[in-house]
Amino acid sequence: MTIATNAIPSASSSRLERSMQQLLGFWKMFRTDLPGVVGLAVILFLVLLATAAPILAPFDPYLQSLGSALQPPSWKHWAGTDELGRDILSRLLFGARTTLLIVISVSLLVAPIGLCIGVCSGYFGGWVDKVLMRIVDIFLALPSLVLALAFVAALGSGAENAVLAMAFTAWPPIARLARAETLSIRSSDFISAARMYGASPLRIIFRHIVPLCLPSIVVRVTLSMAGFILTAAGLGFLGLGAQPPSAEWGTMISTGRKVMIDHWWVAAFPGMAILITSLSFNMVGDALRDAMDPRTH
Amino acid sequence: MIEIESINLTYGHGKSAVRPLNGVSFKIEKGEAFGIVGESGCGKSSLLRCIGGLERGWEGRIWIGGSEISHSRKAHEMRVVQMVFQDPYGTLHPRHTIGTALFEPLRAQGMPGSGEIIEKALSDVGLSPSFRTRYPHQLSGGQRQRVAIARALIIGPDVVLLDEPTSALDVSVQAEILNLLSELRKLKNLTYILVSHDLAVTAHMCDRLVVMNSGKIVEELTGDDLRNNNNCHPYTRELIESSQRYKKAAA
Amino acid sequence: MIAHQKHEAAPLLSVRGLCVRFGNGSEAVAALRNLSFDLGKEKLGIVGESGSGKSTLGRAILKLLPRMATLSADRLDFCGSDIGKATERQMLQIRGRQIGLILQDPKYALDPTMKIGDQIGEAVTLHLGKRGKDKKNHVLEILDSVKIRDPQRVYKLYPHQISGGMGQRIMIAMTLVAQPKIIIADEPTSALDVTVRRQLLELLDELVTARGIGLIFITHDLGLAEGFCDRLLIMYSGQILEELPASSLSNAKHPYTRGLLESMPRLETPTERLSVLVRDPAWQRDVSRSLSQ
Repeated sequence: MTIATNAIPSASSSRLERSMQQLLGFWKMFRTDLPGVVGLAVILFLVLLATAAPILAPFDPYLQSLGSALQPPSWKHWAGTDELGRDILSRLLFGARTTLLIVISVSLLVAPIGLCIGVCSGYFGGWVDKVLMRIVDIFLALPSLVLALAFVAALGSGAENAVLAMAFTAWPPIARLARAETLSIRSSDFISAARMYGASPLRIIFRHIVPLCLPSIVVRVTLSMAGFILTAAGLGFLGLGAQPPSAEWGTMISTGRKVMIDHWWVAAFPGMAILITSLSFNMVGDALRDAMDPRTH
Repeated sequence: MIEIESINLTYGHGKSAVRPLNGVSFKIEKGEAFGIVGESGCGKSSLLRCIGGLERGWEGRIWIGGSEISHSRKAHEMRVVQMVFQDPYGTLHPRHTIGTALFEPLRAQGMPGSGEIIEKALSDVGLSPSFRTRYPHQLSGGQRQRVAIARALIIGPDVVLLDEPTSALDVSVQAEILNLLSELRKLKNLTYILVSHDLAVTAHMCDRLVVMNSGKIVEELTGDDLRNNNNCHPYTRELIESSQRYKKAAA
Repeated sequence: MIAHQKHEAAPLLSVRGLCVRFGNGSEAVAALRNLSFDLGKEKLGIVGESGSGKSTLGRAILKLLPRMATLSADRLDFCGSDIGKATERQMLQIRGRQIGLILQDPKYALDPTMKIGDQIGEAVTLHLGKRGKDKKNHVLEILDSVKIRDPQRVYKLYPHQISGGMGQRIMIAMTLVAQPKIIIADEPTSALDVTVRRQLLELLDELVTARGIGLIFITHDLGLAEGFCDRLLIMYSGQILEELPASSLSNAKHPYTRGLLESMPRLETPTERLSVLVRDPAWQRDVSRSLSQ
């Protein structure tokens, strides 16, 4: 981009300025939504806790101490201990890491794939659309848990394979959403104008259509994150995700299930953690939806 | 400059087929402003889209600048014909600045694009350079149409297709845009095809015009013919009468 | 003032000092400023460009403004009673019954899931209490009165099966069922083709004159209003800049009105260049209160 260097020196800095202004405007819009702000605060707090887990955790999450098994919450163990005497609070903190990593990995896989397939399907139409949408239908028909079992059978269990299994089944709704958005954008005059001045289909897709799809995709993915947490927990619960002694929240509920009646804290605390995190992602997703449209400013 | 012969456009098959265009032919000279008038559904916008290359399923022949146009066009062929659309609120990408909107056509055509070229394009349509960094939602309807005109002209076309360019604008803004279009035509020796449902606007802007109804050309006439009501086709006469001020029944 | 001399009887609608603001505090926008006018058994045209406040006025009279809007008026009388202070409950009796509303696009005003006959029938039952065969006959009569050619057939159609012009006639028909005293028509012909427009205006003219209904005709089309209405109010930036009989439009005095007239392209008089309206910022200043006493 050698054009603007001498001609208008302020052009590049004003572009940065514009981006900053846009971000500021976006933040102003976002912060008016109280649940969204609360949700964001919770998530950031969680990220902080997860990052600082080694420092914050009072005990080693893997340290067993059968003598102090199944202790109720006390000053020593804020969340009590589990059936192997491990401190639940420390396990929660380390579990946050696993959970967040799983959620982010799945989202990073799912969003680009769904977006590309959906937008191409919507823009090109015809047989491209038909073929891609049938593929989407096939993937939608596969229940994520059944697929996870298949993966486990093929590749062995573990967090990585859980991520792959979830990504495999989570991209179709994103693709459908992207396709729906593309179909409505495609008939706009500015797209017709772009076709008329000779822009290539690839250029139109990535420069014109994708930026307009992004808001709903981001919102959908954020809302799906709440679901990923639950699915990961579910997989962990079935013993398919992160394996014991890994401190993943779902796995913790799974093992805590057996002693749940008399020792509620073993399953309750991880359950609450899942609830709060999932809810926070939901609230952020809702607030993002409103904040992302420049026309509402 | 432009010649079209027996253009047909059909959607669907058999009994449920729709024919927006049914054997349309006319010739336009270079530098002329040619009008197409008709009510909604007469096929005038479809015809424009065929000429502009947005519609590919047409039958017949189209010549622009002496060479015959095929159904799919290469980028450099598209440079010759550009279009200004009706709705100022949908004509610009909501996330692109005006500067980007004007730069994209240049980039697509492989033409040099500098700040100066863009600012000249803006000043040609009466907008100051400060508009470069603004977003469409910060502009009024009239300003957006000016940008749309600048975008159409920036790659230097010979023919500009105008699809009801002022029907969504206030009367006072319409006057400015129509004057701008007239000036630009003379300045750059452009050929216009103006589609409108408004007889007065068409008669003002165009030297010659055709009246369309149900995909066919009903009549071809000049602005004077309209004004003097020279032996017009009954449909044309109906249009003229309806356009005139509504006269109340005797009180 | 001319306005008063026309009304032998008391005006149907009397407005003084009507103000509408959107939002609160320093960021509030004044959509309507100090509007004052009367409406008798006549066709009053409210003409303005986008942003002039004409649609807001129509909604303000019916008190159909969004929640963030505040309305205040010195006087807002409908047939002698003050609706300025009327509660929502009282307004429900007035809206649709005594003051009718016709909107621009019948596509959005008609219920797409109900047949035409059933929709009009609903209005008939609600306002006239008829049912069964009585109701059906009345509906067919109404369809006939708005010059729909085959009422029996149209009775059974759905809104998506009829044209825009027919949809507007049905809107008019439904509005008239309740026998309103005033009808507010907000751009009723803007979405219609020119030939259909003419027929619709003829119909509206006939019906309104025959029943002595006061019509407020809101439009951006000055030429249309000139031909159709008896009196015109020219609005700009939330105020009435000029009030004059439609027949004297060519002698309009306010520079804004003159500017609008001159910038319209006319079939009869060709010009090289259209005259461009230059907006004087003085027009946005508050007009004096005593436009119409």
